[in-house]
Amino acid sequence: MNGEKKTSLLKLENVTKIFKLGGLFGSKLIAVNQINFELKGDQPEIVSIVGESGSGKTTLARMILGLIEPTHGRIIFKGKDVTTIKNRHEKLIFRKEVQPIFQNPFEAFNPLKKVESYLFETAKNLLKGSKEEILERVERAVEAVGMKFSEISGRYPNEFSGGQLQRLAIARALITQPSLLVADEPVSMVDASLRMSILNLFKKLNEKMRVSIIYITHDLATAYYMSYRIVIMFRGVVIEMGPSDLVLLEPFHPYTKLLLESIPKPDPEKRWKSKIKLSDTEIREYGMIGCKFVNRCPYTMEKCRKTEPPLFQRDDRFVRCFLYE
Amino acid sequence: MLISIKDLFKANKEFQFGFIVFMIILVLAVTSHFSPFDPRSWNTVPKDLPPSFRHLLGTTSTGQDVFWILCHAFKNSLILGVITALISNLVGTFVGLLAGYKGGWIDRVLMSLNDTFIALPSFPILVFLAFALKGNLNMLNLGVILSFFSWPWGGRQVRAMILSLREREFTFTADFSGSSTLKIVFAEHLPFVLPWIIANFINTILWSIGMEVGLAIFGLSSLEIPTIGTMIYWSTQYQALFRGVWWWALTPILSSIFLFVSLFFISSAITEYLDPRSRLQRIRSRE
Amino acid sequence: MKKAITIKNLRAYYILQNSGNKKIVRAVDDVSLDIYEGEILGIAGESGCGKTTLLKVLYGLLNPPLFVKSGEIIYHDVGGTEVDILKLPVSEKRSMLYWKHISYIPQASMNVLNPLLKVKKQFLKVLKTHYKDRKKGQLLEMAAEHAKNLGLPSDILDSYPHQLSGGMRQRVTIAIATLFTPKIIFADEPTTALDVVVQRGVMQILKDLQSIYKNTIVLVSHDIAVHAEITDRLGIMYAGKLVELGPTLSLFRSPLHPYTRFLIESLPQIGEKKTKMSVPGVPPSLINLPSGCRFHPRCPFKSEICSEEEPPFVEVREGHFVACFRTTKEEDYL
Repeated sequence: MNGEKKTSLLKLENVTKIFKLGGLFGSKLIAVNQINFELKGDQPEIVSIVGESGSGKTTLARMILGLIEPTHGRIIFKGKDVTTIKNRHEKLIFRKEVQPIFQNPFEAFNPLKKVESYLFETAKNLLKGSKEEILERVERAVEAVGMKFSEISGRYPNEFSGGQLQRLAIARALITQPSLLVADEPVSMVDASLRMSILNLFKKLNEKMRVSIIYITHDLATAYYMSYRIVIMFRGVVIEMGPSDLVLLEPFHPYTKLLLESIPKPDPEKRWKSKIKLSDTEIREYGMIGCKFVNRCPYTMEKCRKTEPPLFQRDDRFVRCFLYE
Repeated sequence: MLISIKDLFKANKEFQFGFIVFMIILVLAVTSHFSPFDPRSWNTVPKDLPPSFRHLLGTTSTGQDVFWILCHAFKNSLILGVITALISNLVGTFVGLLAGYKGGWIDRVLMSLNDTFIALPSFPILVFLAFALKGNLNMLNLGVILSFFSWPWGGRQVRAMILSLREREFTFTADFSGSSTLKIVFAEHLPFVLPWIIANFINTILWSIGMEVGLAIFGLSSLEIPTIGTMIYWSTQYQALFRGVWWWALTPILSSIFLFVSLFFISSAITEYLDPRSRLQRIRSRE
Repeated sequence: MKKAITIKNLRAYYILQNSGNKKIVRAVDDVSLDIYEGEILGIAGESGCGKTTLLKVLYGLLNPPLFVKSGEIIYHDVGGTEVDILKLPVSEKRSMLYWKHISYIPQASMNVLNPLLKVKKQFLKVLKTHYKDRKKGQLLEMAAEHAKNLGLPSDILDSYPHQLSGGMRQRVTIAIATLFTPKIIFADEPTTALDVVVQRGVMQILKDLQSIYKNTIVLVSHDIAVHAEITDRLGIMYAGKLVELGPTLSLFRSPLHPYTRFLIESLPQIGEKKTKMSVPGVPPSLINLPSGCRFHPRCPFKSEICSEEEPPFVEVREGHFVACFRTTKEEDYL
């Protein structure tokens, strides 16, 4: 059994996170509900986790990174349960292997400190080595993201653009040559015209440096561009999962269809013809017993309101909808 | 993080004024060491003499040289202020840091303690203590007593700053760079908290000197020790202003104004200099 | 088509002073543009290109350190006359223009609502300022009808803001901003930072507004796909200047400026697996601008003249303008 676990890089078993809320809305918010998911270790892959705000994707990312503890379930990284990491030594080992890229490049670095300080810190704390070795690692990491160390030396975060800062955040994450990068909306705050260079960088790193990437986003188009596998979340549960080609070109779940239809196409000759209905009160949707998409779904049946559908499997695709029972 | 006094001096007129005046006050305070008269003895010089070459600020109705008493007053008031500020800042900052970083029951216990002290009515208690300790009050124990009342403000403030700093993304970046909690506190968060600590330090000095003046006017301070407060007390007791001994009445009042204003200017110039937003602008303008 | 606004040679700069250093950020640098009645005009560009500043100045929000160096912004047909908003004092801007003639929807405006008041009360507050002598019942009817026209569900009026989703709040803010059916609406990045389904709802509401009330909308966004979806005409700004302007269809079918080409071609689309490219290089600093054409350091087609002289903004096809030496030269040969 141990041998089987070792082949998967990351395994999520029934991972759940429940937040306690005070006062008005009731006592609990189930942000993430029983997620099961696996990243195989043999080939480094890029997996996209797609969801709108309130889907639980950021909470899930934080649990994978060890920033929050799951209420139930286990997160197993290279055979070790992440939630059992207590002492500093184990924590540093984990940090060497799993690194984050956050959404806001302007907040990722302390505005009062030089950007390179974080790169050197990472090298010193997680890798050790002589001064020359550390400098070399830092220089290489900066080059790997398409910049030169001489360009960034001595400079503060506000001297860089959002795109450059995000690259530097990636450089910092790469210093320890981690096995897994968790990128939470890494390009949503970068100008649309500069996004592709950063996404292309991720792809190159995945190929050349053999690092697996969990790419979290609300943007289906970039998810399609980045990954071969896609996981779609809605109100804390996985509602569809499978190869991106199939999921995005022949979607099963009505919510996936809605997402796809709502992407504005950069082509004025292909404008929307129909109108959509928006959810007015998110909180109501969280508290519902059956399928949470019931109020906006054009195919709602009686049983959809009573019980939440389980994940049904069709070949290598999964979908949480009674239409596919 | 280092304050370049030269930079400040050049840029800020208020700081120039404050710094110069405060330096003068400091010099006077130190000069008290060379006072030819014992500040506690009366009738060392002729009474009620107006300002002259021999007695720069005149003499009092108690037979003391106003100038030398003033030097001692500055020294004592400053010592009092610094003692209060040191103790209360240390305790308050420590409590705030601990509560902010540890959270949980430690936070709850510390904050309950904190709020209890805030709720204490400082002046009545001080009055009572002053009565009780009448003879034995000196700058040291008064400083300690005053710090009892001033530390909780620091506790709440620092805790609030720490709570928000902990959630900022660069804190996570530092965490993922392998920095220990202690390193994060000093390298990441302290630069943001420092301007506040300095401002608070100086404001506590001002507050405690002010409290002493307040107590002294009611005769509740240590009356043989010359401080700004006791000067005001004695000059009022002897009705200096009415009797035309205006130099004795005006000196402590004007001196306290200068002291307060100079410290205030210094404090605001330093905080403005260290404030992360203005530091960012300075960094930007280097482009 | 009748003109709603004429912008002539507008220069709006930020003057930054810090301990003796003075820096001038040339956010809008000689922009001239006509805005026609009833159209949806988009202004696109990277962050820092000056589009938000342009919008602010158009609306008359001139707070230091923002100053207008030169130029005119003429509003046509304001109660029968023409008005240069740059020359109006604040009180007159309020009485003549704001809310009734023009309205401004700022970025991320979902947090503008008062959390302590029900939505209907916030509608009423705004309505009362103009319709002082009407009864509450009448005003509520006006609010309900306006909300219905814009596709908002009827029960939102009785809700508190915190009970509504972010996207719904954004639309409520848009509804309130348009209560007096202003002739011109300025929307600053109305869809940025919103979920894709909510974005669609917001774009829908803007389109509905326009089709019902026939007003003019000036929409600023860095997202080209949003412009493709709802604008009639599109202007591309770069480093403070307008580099291309024309009917949206024409711009997408044959983009003339290399920058526009990059903007359009860099967007990933589902179904296309080929590698996409970003605009190379970094946006320029608005304090130290490149010589000549401001895009030349990043342009793969540059020639010598591009670094020496600024290309003029010329009409190359019907209604389609561009500032680029290469494109205008090519067109000469056609």
